[in-house]
Amino acid sequence: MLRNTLTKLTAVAALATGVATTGAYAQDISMAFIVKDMNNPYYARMGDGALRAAEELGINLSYVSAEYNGDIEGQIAVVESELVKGHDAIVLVPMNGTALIPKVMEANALGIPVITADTKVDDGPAQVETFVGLDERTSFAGMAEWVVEQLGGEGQVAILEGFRGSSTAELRLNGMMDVFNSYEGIEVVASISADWDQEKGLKAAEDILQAHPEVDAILGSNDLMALGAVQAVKGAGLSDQVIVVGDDAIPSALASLRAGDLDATIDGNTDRVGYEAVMAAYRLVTEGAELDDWIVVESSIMTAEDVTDEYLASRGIELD
Amino acid sequence: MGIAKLKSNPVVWILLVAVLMAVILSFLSPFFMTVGNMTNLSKQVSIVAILAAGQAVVIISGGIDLSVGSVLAFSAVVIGTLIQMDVNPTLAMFAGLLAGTFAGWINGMVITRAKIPPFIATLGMLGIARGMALAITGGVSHPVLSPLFLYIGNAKLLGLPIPLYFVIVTFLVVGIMMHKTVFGRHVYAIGGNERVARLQGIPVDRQKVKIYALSGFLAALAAVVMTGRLAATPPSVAQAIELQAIAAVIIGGVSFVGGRGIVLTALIGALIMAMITNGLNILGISSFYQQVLIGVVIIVAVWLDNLKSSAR
Repeated sequence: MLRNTLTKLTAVAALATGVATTGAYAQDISMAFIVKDMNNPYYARMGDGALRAAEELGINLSYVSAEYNGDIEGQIAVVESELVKGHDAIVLVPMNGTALIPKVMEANALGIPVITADTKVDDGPAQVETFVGLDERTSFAGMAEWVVEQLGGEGQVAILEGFRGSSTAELRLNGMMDVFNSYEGIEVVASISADWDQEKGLKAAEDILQAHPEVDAILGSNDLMALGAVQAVKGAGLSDQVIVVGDDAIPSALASLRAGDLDATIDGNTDRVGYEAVMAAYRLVTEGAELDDWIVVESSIMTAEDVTDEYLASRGIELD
Repeated sequence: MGIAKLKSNPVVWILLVAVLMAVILSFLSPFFMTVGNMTNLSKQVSIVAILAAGQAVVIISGGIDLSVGSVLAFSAVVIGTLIQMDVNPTLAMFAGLLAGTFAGWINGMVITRAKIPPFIATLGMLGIARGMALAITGGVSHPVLSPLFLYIGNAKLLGLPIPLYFVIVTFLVVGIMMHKTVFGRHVYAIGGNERVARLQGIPVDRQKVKIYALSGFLAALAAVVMTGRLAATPPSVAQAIELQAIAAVIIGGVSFVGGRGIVLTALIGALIMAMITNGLNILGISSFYQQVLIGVVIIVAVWLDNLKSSAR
C-alpha cells in the first residue's frame, strides 16, 4: 500500500479530540485525502493542492491512494485503515460511485464527515457533506463542442473511452455523446474502451484508423489514451488530417500540445479541486459551516498557445 | 512428414486455430485482411509475443515469471530517464536491457539461493520493479523522441514494421536455444523432473538463473519496442501484461506442469489473442466481450490439448 503521510499524526491526540470537540486547534486537526492513484499525474496534482491547503491551515493530512487506478479493493482497504486513525474528516476521490458507499456509511457511523472530490459516490444511503469538483459531463460537452467547431459542424469522430464501469468514464462519454448526437453532420464511427492506458489507446486508435480511414477527430477520455492516439495518427501519416484531443493536461500532454501533435486538452484545474476540498472540510470541522451540495471547480480547454511559460511555472512543470 | 505425425504436431494444431480465426474475421470485416491492418496486428502483437517467448522458456522449466510487466516498465523507465538526462539513446537502450536482465537475474538468484518458489519470488519482483519504476520517475512519463526509438516504433524495413523483426529474431534465437542447445535440453529436463535432472548432474540452479535472466532480458527487449511505439516511457505501462504472456503460452499448448511444449506456439498464442482484440475493435464490439472471448479461448485451448494427449 502506498502512503505519503505529510506529518505523522499523533494518533492519541486525534482520538482524544475526535469530532465531538469544537474549536479545536488547527494542529490537532487531522484529515485523510484519499485519491485513486497517487502515481497518476492527474491525482498527484490534486494531492499537491490538498497538501498546499493543509500547509496553509497547519493541519495534519494523510495523503494516500490505492496502488493503481481501477484497484477498487485496494482503495477500500485504504479507506478502512484511514477510518481507524480517527481523522476529523475524510476527503475521498472514490474509485467507483457505488463500491465505496459502504465505506462512506462506515465513516458516517463513526461520525467522521466525508467530502468527495473529483468523482462522486452515487446518491443513496451514504451521507456526503459536499462534492468538490468539475462537472465532467459539462466539461467534456465543452470539448466536444470545440471539436465540432473545428470540423465546421461536419465529420466523423471516434472516442477512446476510459475503463468501462468507472463512473468518470461514463460521465465523460455521455458529455461527448450529448453534443455529438445534437449535430446532424457529426457521426460517431467508433467508441472503444482503452482503459485509460496509453498503449491500449495506441492500439485502439490504430484499429479505428484502419476501420474508418476517413475519421476526422479522435477524442481521448484522458491524455494518456490521446497520446497513444497521437502516435497512431503519426504512424498512419495522418497528423494533418486528424484532430486528437485529450483531458487532464498532464505534463506529457502539454509537451505534445507544444510540439503540435496533440490539438487540445482539458485542464480540470485539479490542484484547485484538492485545495478547495481540504478548505471545505476545514470549514466544516472548525465552524460547522453549511456547505453547498456541489462546490464546482471549472475546467478550461487548452490549446498549444495556452501552454505558456507562466502556466508551466505555476504548475511547477519543466518542459524541454 | 506423415499425416499422423502432422496431426500430433502442436504447432500445426494451433496454427489451424489461428488461420480459422483469421478467416472468420476477414468474413466479418472487410478491413481485417488488409495490408494496413496486418501491419497493425504485427505491431500490436509484438510486445506480448516477445514476453511470451521468455515466459514459454520459464514455464517449460516448470516455473513462472509474474514480474515481466513490471520489469518491462522498469527497463522502459531506465531508458526514458537516461535519455532525459541526455545520455546517448543507444547507450540508454543497452542500459535498459541490462536493467531488465539484472532484475531477471535477481529473480533467478532468489529462486535458487533463497529457495523461494518462482511464483512468490517473481510476485515480489512484480512489486519491486514497478515500485522502482514509479520511484525513479516520480510517476512522470518522459518523452522519447530520439531517432533510434522513433525508427524502432514507426519505421518499416522491406515493407515490414520494425517491431516484427524484434519478434522474428527473438523466436529464432530462443527457438534455437531451446531445441538445439544443451541449455534447451536442460530446461526440458528440469521442467520434466527437477530431482532426476539434478541426479543426472545437470547444473539446475545455474540454468535456472539463466532462464529467469533471459526472461528479464526479453522483458527489457519488449520495453525497447514499447518505448519506440509510445515515444514515451510511462511508468504505469504494461500492467497485468504478464497474464497476457502467460495466456499466450498456454493457448499455444505449452504444458503448465513443465517439461513439454514448443516455444513457437507461444507466438501463435499471442497472435490469437491480438487478433481477438484487434478484430473486435474493428468490428466495434465492446471490450467486455474481448475479455470473455480470451477467457473462453484459454480454456478451450487447454481442453483440446488434454483431448489430444488422452487420445494418444
